[in-house]
Amino acid sequence: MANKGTEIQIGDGSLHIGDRVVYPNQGICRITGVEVKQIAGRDWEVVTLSREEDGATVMVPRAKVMGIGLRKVASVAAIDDMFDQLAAPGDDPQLDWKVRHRENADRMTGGGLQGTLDVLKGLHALSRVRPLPQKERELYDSARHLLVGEIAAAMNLPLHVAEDNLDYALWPPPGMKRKGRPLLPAALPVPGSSAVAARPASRAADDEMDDEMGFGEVDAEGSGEPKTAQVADTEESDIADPTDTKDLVRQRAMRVTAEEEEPEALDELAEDALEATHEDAAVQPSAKLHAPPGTTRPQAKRGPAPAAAEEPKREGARPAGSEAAHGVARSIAAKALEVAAKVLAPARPAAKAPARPAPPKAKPAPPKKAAKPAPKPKKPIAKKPAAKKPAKKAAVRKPAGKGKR
Amino acid sequence: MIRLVTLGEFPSEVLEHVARRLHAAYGMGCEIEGEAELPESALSEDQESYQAPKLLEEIDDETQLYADDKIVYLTKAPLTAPEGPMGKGPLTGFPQFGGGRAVVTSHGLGGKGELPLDVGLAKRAAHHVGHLWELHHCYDPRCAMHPEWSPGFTQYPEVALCLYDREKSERKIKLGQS
Repeated sequence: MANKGTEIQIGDGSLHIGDRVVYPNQGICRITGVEVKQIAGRDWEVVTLSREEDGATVMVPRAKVMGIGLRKVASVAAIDDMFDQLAAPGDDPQLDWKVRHRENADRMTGGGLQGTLDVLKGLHALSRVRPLPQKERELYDSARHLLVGEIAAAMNLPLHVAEDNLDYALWPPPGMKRKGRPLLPAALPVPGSSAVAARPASRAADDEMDDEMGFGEVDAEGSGEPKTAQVADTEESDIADPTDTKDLVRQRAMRVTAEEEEPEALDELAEDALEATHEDAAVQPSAKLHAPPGTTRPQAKRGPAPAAAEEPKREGARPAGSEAAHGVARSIAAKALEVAAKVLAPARPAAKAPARPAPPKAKPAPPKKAAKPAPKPKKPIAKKPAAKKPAKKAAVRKPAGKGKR
Repeated sequence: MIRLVTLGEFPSEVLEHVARRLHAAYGMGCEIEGEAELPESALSEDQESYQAPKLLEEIDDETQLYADDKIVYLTKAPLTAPEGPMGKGPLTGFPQFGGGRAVVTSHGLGGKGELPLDVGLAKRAAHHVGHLWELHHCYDPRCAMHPEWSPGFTQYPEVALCLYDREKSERKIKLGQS
């Protein structure tokens, strides 16, 4: 290992030990020396750099210093020119994912100030149209980090001031001017076109982010996604680089799943709701049979009474399983009918019985009917046989009414 | 741990609100440490505002800064920072980017078109604590790291980070020294 003097020239002669340089994709470094390292049995002359951000040591073969794009920190004039470009209105973002990805990757590996600026500006413009995918979000952050570091290093400013100035150009606050020319103040991104607001339900991948952020619904105009974003979505689906596909494929899969499922889910929900309404009515008797007495509510309070046509079926079905349970009711009914039979004609109750309305009315009904026809029959001869027939029906009907309650 | 130190009087409910919001945003403990005094030497030439970088350097504060602790100074005084190539812009606070201390001002909060004191101070504090964790500005208007002068910052008063920034901050916190 040999640490040579500061007069040693590195690369094309423009770099010296102690200089602050920009290492592509790594940030601001300081050249700490030139060393000879034995690697794989060979002596390599390497330039050692110390990354200012975290003090990490980077070693670059001396012969490759210029090849990897190592360069001096930009001058103040270059930074000033860069701010002019940042403040100028940008072009439309490149929507072809493949082209954009290739161009941005080339620019970042090149390591030039202009390249990094183009990446940042292009992705910033795109972010105004639609949220960036994960990989591009990382690239955007990386480009921003490199530029902030270089501005701070070139102009000897704190990092925070450098970043604020960068965003004074990208998101101009009211009253901001650049070389005497007022800049258009930053506006809130149009709902539905930017990061978060009002995306269709099918954008499950992006909505997932919203959910995780814990944001509520945004006051959206419901304009949906712009065509540009939809085009970009479709273009993203075929990505050349397999390493980049993981996140996007996952997002796309979620999107597709959501697109397939959600419309159906709405229909199903509606159908289920309808079915449930009918099922409720169908299930009621059996469900109520298991309910303890007195806990069920009158049918009238739960909604419209089931159709009269349903009643005979239930009546027919019930006695088989519930004779014992309704024995008391039956005996009461029998007694009541015995009394009623004294005054009732045999034909009348039999004819009226099927036409009777909802069961809750069954209890008060017999006395009324008994009261009305009472004066009509003159000879209550066939008391007992007449009483037996309606008694069966009434006995069946009354438990049914109770069971429903 | 995020420690709050006041440089002036703040209602206790405001401080508690800020502490709760910071805790929720970063998942770190946040406590109110006490009060310190603004260093007179940090006063700018106009004698009305304080030079934020100098204030952080010269503040006389006994609060200990352990490993990954972040100290946030809260003041009502207006702040200034060195002018950059874009000239003078609005300043709501000043963090030592990637460092341990930040100063946040409540100046201007509660006014017309601005957030209320408690909500605005919490969001500003969360923004500058994010810079302490090396988070950059975010284009998402609902994220606390959105530029604080942008209309989106006041439009969405919730103190929350976008998914990317939250993951990044969590990564930084996990990789922290402590």
